[in-house]
Amino acid sequence: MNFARRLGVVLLAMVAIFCIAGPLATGREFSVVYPDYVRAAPSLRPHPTAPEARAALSRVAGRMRVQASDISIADGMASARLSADIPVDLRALVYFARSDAFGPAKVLESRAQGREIEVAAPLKRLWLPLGADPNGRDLLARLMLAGRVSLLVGVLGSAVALGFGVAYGMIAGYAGGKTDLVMMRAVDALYALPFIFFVILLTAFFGRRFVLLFVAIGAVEWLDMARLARGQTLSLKSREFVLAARSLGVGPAAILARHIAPNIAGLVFAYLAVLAPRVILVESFLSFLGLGVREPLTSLGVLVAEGARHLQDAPWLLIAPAALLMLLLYGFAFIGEDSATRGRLR
Amino acid sequence: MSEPLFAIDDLSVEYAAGTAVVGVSLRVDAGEAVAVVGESGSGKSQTLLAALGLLDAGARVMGSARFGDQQLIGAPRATLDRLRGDRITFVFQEPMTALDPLVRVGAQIAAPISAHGGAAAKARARALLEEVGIAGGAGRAGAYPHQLSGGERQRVMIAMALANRPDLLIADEPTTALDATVQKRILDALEERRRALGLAMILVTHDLRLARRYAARVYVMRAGRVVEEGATAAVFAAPREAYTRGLIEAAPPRAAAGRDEQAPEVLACDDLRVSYERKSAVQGVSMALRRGRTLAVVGESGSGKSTLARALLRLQPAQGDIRWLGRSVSRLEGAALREARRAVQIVFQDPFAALSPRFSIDDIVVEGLRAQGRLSAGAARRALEAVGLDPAFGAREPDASSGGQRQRVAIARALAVEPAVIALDEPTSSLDRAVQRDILELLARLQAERGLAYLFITHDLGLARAFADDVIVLKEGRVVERGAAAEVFARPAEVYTRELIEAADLGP
Amino acid sequence: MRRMILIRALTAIPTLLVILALSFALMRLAPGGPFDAERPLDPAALATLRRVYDLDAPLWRQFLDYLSALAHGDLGPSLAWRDYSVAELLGQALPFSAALGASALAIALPLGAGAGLLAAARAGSALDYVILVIASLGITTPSFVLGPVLQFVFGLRLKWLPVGGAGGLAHYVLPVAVLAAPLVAAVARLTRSAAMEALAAPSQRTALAYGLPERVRLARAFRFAALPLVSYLGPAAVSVMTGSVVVETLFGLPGVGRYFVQGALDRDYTVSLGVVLLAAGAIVLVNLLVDIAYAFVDPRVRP
Repeated sequence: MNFARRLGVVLLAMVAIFCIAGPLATGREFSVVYPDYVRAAPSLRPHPTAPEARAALSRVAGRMRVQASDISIADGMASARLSADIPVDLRALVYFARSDAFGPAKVLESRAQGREIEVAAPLKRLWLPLGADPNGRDLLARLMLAGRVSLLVGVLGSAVALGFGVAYGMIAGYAGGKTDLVMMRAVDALYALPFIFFVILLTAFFGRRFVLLFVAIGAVEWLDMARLARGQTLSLKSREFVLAARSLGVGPAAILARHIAPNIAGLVFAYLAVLAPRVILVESFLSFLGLGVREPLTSLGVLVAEGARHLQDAPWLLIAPAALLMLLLYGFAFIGEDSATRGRLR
Repeated sequence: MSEPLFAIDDLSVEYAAGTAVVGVSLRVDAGEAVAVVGESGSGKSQTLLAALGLLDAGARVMGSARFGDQQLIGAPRATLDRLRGDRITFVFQEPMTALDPLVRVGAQIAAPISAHGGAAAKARARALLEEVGIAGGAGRAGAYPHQLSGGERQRVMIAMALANRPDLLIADEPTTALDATVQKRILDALEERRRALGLAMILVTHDLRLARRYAARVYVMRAGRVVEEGATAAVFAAPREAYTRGLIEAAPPRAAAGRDEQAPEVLACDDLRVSYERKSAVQGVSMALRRGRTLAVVGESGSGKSTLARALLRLQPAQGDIRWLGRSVSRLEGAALREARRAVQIVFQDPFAALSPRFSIDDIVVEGLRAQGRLSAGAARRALEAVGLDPAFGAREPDASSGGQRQRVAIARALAVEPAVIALDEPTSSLDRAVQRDILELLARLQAERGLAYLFITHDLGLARAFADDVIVLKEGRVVERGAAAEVFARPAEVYTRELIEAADLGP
Repeated sequence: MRRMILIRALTAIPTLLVILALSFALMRLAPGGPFDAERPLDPAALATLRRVYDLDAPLWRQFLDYLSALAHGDLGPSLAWRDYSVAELLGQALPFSAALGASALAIALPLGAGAGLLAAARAGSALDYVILVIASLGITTPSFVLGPVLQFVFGLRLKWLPVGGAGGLAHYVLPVAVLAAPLVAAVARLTRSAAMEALAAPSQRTALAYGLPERVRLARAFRFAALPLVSYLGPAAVSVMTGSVVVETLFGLPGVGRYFVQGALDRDYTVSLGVVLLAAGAIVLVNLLVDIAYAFVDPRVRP
C-alpha cells in the first residue's frame, strides 16, 4: 500500500501547487469579467479568434453608432472601414480599448470629411484554456480560487475538529470515572443528531458566513476525533510508563503533554487524511446546495453546482471542477487508505 | 528400529524475512509421548505447523514429514484433510481464539466427527464433554466459548482432539495461557486419556518441567535447530548443551537471609479494598513491609496481586488505610500526594511497555527528579552507573536496547528519586533465564547497599522462595496464607498453597 | 434482551428531546422569520400572521406548546406551504424517499457483498485489485459529482433516460443509481476486509487442522464477516431512506430532503423540526435494531 500513499501525496502536491502557485503563473484576477467571452469554450488558442474579433468589432461599431465594413483580421491586427452619416466622432474610438478584444485603435485614413475612416487596432491576446463561466470570468482562475478555498476549508475545518475533539477526548479519557461517563454520553447523544440536517439548519438560518462554515463542519466532525483520542488516552493511561510517571510524582498536565499526546499524535495525524477530505466534502456539499461560500469567492462545490446547471450548453463547466475535486479527494483517499490499514481506523 | 508413526526429516521453513526452521528431524513411535522444548521463537511450533501444512501462504516448507507411509509435505489438500482432524489432531495454545466464538462448543466438537464420516456426532460430542471432565459435562454442549473458563475451553479443544480417536495428538503449548493449578489438572486429564486410548503425543512447550513430567523423550530446539535430544531422564541428568542447562536450572541462588524483623514499617495497609467494573479485585487485605526486607505476594493471574500493588502506590482508587513511611496517605490528593510519592516506586513486568517510547534514556531516568524540581547535573550518569549501565548509554532511545538493559533503566528511574520501597511487579517474567538472574542479583545488591524494601509480586513460587523474607498468598483478592517464606514453603497450612507449590514443581 | 430494549427505548426520549431543543433554539435565535418576503408585508397583516401561528409567545412557551402538540401526534402546520400540515407534507414525501432509498439498498447489498466476497476469495489477484480500485473510486466520488455526470451521459448525450422530475419507472433509474453507487462500494470494501479477516482468524486454522469441509469453513467465516456489515448497514439505511438531499435536489424529486432544504431556506420552523425529529427518531430506532441484530449473530454481546 506504500505505492498508494506515494501516489496520494503526489496527487495532493500537484493540486496544491496548481491552486496556490497557479495564479502567480497566470497573473489573472479571479473576479475580472470578460463580457465578450461569456461561456467561452475551453481552447488552447488565444482569444479573440477571428470570428470573435469580427463579432466584437461589430459590437464596438454599434456602440460608436457607425457601420463597420471590410473587416479584416490578420497578424494580430484588426482593421475595418467605419462609416456613418455624420463625421465619426474619434473620441468614441476608446470603445476599442474598452473591449476585451482590442487595444487602442488608430485612424489610418480619413475620407469624406471624416464620414468614412479606416481604423486598425491590435488584438488583445487572452488565453482562456478552460473557457469562461456564465458571467464571463476565466474558469481557470476561478478553479484555482475554488481549489484554494477548498484546501483552506479542509485545513481549517480539520484543525477545528481536531483541536477540539482531541482536547475533549484526552480530558475525558484521562479524568475517567463519572467525568468520562458524562462527557462521552454527550458525544453519544450528539451522534444521534442527523448532522447533515443540522448543518443545513445552521447555515440556512444564520446565513452564509465563512466562519460559520468552519463551526458547522467542526461541529460535525469532532465527535470521531473525540472518541479516538479518548480511547487512546484510556488505554495509554493504564500503560506502565504512565503509571511509572505518576508514581514519580509527575502531574496530570505534564503526563498528558509529555507522555500521552506524543503517543496519540501519530494516529491523530493519520486520521487527518480521513478527516480533511470529509471536511472538504461537507463544504462542497453545502456549496452545492447554495449554502456555502459567497460570491465573489467560490469553491469546488459551487463550481460543480454551476456546471450541473449548464450541463446542456456548457458541459465543460462541470468537467473541470469535478475533475479537480476528484483529484483532491482521491489524493486524500490514497493516503487515508494506507493509514487506515496501518492504524486500524474504523 | 521399528517403523515410526510420524517422522519429520530435514525440515526447513523459510519466510521472505528469514529462516524460521533449519533441517529439523524428529520421530514419534505409536503410543509414545515426546516433548519439543525451546524458548519462544525457537521454531518449535513452526516445525509442527509446517509438517501438517498449517502455515500461512507466505512460508516455504522444504524437507519431509511422513505419517506412516504418507508424505505430508506437498500432499494434495484432500489427502491432508483425510488425515487432519482424524488420525492427527492439534491442540492450540489459545483456546479462546482457536475455537469459533460464534458456534456452540457441542457443535464445534461434533464438526470433525461428521466431517470424517462419524455417526451420531452430537451424542458423541456430549459424551466427550463428560470424558474430558468439564464441570457440568454434557449439559455444557450448548454453551458458547466465552461462557466457559480458560481451562474449560482448553478441555473442549482436547475433546475435539480426541473425538475421532486419533493416532497422534500434537499439543502446542496447551496450558501456557492457563494458571499453574489449572495447568496441572488439564495435563493430568490429557495424560490419563492418552494412556487409556494408547495414542502418541507431541507436547510443544517452553517449560522443561512439563516435558519432564509428561514425555519419555525430549527434543531441545534453539534458533530453528534441534540442539539436543534424548530420553528425558538422561537429558535432565546430564544436559550436554549450556543452553539446555540454562533452561533446566530453575531458581536463582537464595538471596535473602537474616534481615531485621523489627525495622520500621515503610509500606502498610489495613483492610484495603479495590473494585472496578462492579467486581472486587482486592477484598480487605492488610499487610506491612519493613525497611530492608522483601515481602513476596504470590498467586495466580487474576488473584489481585498487581491490583494490590497499584492500590498500595495510590495508582488505583481504593478504600482502606494506606501508610507510606508510617504516614497515612489515603486522603492525600494533588500536589501533596505527588510530593509524598517519592517514597514508593514501582518496576513493571514488561520493560518494553514501561519506558516512554519517545524519550532518551537520560530523560527517562531523571523524569522523577525533574518533576520534583531536584534535577542536578550528572544525575542521569549516577543513576545509570548505580544499575551497572554505561553512562554513554543515556543518549540512546529505549527502542535500541535489549529487554535486560531496559529493565535496568526502569530500576534506575525508580532509584533516582531515592525511595524507601520499590514494588517489583513480576520484574523478571518477560526476560530470558540468564538475564533474569543478572537482574535479581542487581536487585539483591541494591537492597543490601541501600536498605531498600521490596514488595515482590510474582506468580513464580521458585523466585518467591529464593528472594523473599515473608510471603503473602493471594486468592481471589483475599489473603489465604501469610508468614515467613521459609516456613510457608516448607509447611503450607492451606490446601490452596499446597496446590500452588505442587503445580510449581519446585523440586528439592 | 427485553430489558435492554426497554432501557434503550427510555433513553431515546431524552436524546430526542435534547435534539429537538437544540434545533429549536438554533432556528429561533437566528435572525429573520418565515414571513420575511422580498416585499415586506404590511405590519398589520404580519402581526395577524404571527398571532395565528402563535409566534408571539415567549420561546419556552412555544417549545412547550410544540411538545404537547407532539405528544398528541401533531407536528403542527407548515409555515411556508400554507394550508398544509407538516404531517401531510411528510406523509407525501417520506414514502417517496423511503422507496427510493430501499431500492438503492436492495440493489447495493447483494451487489456489494457479492463483489466483496469475490475479491476476498481471490485476494491479491487482478480481479481483487480491480474491485478494490472501483470500490475506492465509488466511495470517494460524491453524489453531487456522480449525479450530473450520469445526467450528462445517459440523459443528454445518449438520451436513454430522463434527467429529472417524478414520473414513470425510467425517471428513477438515475436517482437510484446515484444513491446506490457509494453504498455498493462501501459494502464491497467492508465485506472484502471482513471476509479476509474472518478467513485469517485462528479459528479458521483450527477448522483447517480438523479437516472440516470447505463449505463449513466458509459458512463460519461468513458469519464472522457479517458482524461489521450489520453495524454499517443501520446508519447507512437511515441516511438513504430519510431523503438524500443531493439526489432529490439534483433530480427535482419531491422527497423529505428537498422539503427540508426548502423549509430551512424559508424559515419554515415546523417543517424543519419535523424532519429533524423524523431523522433522529429513525437513527435511534435503527441503532436499537442493529444492536438486536448484532446480538443475534454474536452470542458474546448478548446480555
